[in-house]
Amino acid sequence: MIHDKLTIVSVFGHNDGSAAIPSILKSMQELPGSRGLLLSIKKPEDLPSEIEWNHIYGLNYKQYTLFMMHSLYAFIKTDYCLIVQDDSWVLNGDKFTEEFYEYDYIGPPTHCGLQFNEDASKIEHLFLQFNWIGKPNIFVVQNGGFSLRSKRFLEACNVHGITHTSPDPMKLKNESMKKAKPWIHNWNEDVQLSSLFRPVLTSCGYKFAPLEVATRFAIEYLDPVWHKDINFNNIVGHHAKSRILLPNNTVRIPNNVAKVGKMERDLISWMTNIKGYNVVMDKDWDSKFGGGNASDKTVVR
Amino acid sequence: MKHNKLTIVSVFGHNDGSSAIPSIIKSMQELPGSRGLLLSIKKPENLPTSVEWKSIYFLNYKQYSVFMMHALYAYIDTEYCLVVQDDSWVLNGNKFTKEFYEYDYIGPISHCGLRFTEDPHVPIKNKKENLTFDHLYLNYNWVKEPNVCRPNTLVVQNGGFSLRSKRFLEACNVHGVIHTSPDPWILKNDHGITNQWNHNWNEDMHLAGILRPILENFGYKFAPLDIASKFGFEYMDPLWHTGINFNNIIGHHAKSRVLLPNNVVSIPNNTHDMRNSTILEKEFLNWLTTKKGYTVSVNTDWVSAFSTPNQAYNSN
Repeated sequence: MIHDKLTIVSVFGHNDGSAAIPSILKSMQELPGSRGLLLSIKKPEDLPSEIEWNHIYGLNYKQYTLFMMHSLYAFIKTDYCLIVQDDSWVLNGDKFTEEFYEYDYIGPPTHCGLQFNEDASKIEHLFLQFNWIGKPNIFVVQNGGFSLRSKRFLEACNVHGITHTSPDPMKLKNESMKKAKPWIHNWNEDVQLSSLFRPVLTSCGYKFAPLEVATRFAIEYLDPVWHKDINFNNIVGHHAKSRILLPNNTVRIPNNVAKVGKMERDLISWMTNIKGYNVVMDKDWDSKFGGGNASDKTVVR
Repeated sequence: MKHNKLTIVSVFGHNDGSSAIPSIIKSMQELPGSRGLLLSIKKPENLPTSVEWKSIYFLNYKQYSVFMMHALYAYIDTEYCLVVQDDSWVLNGNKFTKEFYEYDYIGPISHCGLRFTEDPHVPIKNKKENLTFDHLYLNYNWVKEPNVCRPNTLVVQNGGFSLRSKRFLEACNVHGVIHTSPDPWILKNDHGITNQWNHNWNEDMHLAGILRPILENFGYKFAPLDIASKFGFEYMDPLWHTGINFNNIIGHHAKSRVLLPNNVVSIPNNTHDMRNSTILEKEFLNWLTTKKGYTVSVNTDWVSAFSTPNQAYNSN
């Protein structure tokens, strides 16, 4: 399948973005016909000629989200774009079928889900660590760091006057917590687009992939219940800060792989044995594998 | 002069925006050929047919700025737009000459100025990319002497009554220049008393102050101070505005002057408290009634705070 209506894009507002080059190249190879585009504050010296580069200004953490929601459209010339980062890329390009182009937004289901009231007008509850499984009226956040978006979706917020909410952090608390913890990720573009604004955007005619399609599209962190039947050969890609693509098909992972669940070890093993990646451990990098920063599993807003 | 490349637009993200109808209509009458457009969360029942309406979603105070910087372009079909509100409108349309269309952004000069570490007006390619500011002047303290601005200072031009080119409306998006989403600045006065100042979030502070050097680097033209002074006024300063001829100004914007239907201007009950601006403000209100036929109505329930913080921000 030729992907000539697709741009694979990475946005780096704090450096030259050279770290994303392996992910862009790998994804382009997996999706023949696609374009590659890097947006960053400075052109990397080692940028391969097949990747186009455009200048953007410095973006801090908060500005990245505003850029993705309101400005990215201006840089994409194709009908669709696939967002990748140094820690997200295409694993099985042959599984990227026409079906996915039927949607305006698809990203891997995350551990995070917002529960709305019956008419989707108010947020009732935030579930983390995949505790949304089995709960009603949930919009599971689909990760933006490896996401397919239609060009019309990129401009949707602007043309419909839907503006980033610039929220203060949400207060998280459950029965066992004495004091509420601030949760800052409600600022993030994927939380805003695929959850907070999903009812509004859906009413404007934009199509979000249902959970089943999003699950086939990609993975973020793996949950033993949600992903119990997963076949890594059948998913298009992934995104997790604990898996970084370096040049020469090398994947860097943190040094605490022994602490992670069996599914993550299975994925790393699959990457090595089936896909031919070299896996290296970063001895200085004691990253948490789990998603979210709340230590308690069920968190009540 | 025909203004058929101009849309007069008002954006209300918290109600139906019906309060802006008098300002839109008045400005359209003053600028023949212009279109009128209201963007709000609900169509007003009394909207005149001459004003077009489009739906937007709810905007809080912060979202308004993000909308103006990043989304307004999608609603404007003409080469220029003039932003008005219920407290900003065109006073003398016959003074709106072609000269103003030479700029991408013009607004009334405000009391607020940002001092940069180098001359922000020097047009050297790429020089301005890393320009930083180190001081915030308030209450017209950027005025060095009559008609002279302090060095290295960009005076914020008010966005609530501002002319913007369509290409300027999309400038931030196409160049990847993004609202900075700042925390409030901490202002400190001579007595060491600190105060939070949250207007650094505002779109006009961003466009005409913080981001102006970057935008000028891309070729967008901001009106110089003398042009902006002829374009409109906000609150008036004795050093800067003494001798102002109201017949020659295009428009104004101040929350203490709200246009109601039937040419009635509603003002607060404490205009005598406007500190240095009191005399000029009284002259202006007198001009509105005697020369322009407005009726001024004092709202006895409305005690508006005219003064602005007397402190200054110093990034050091």
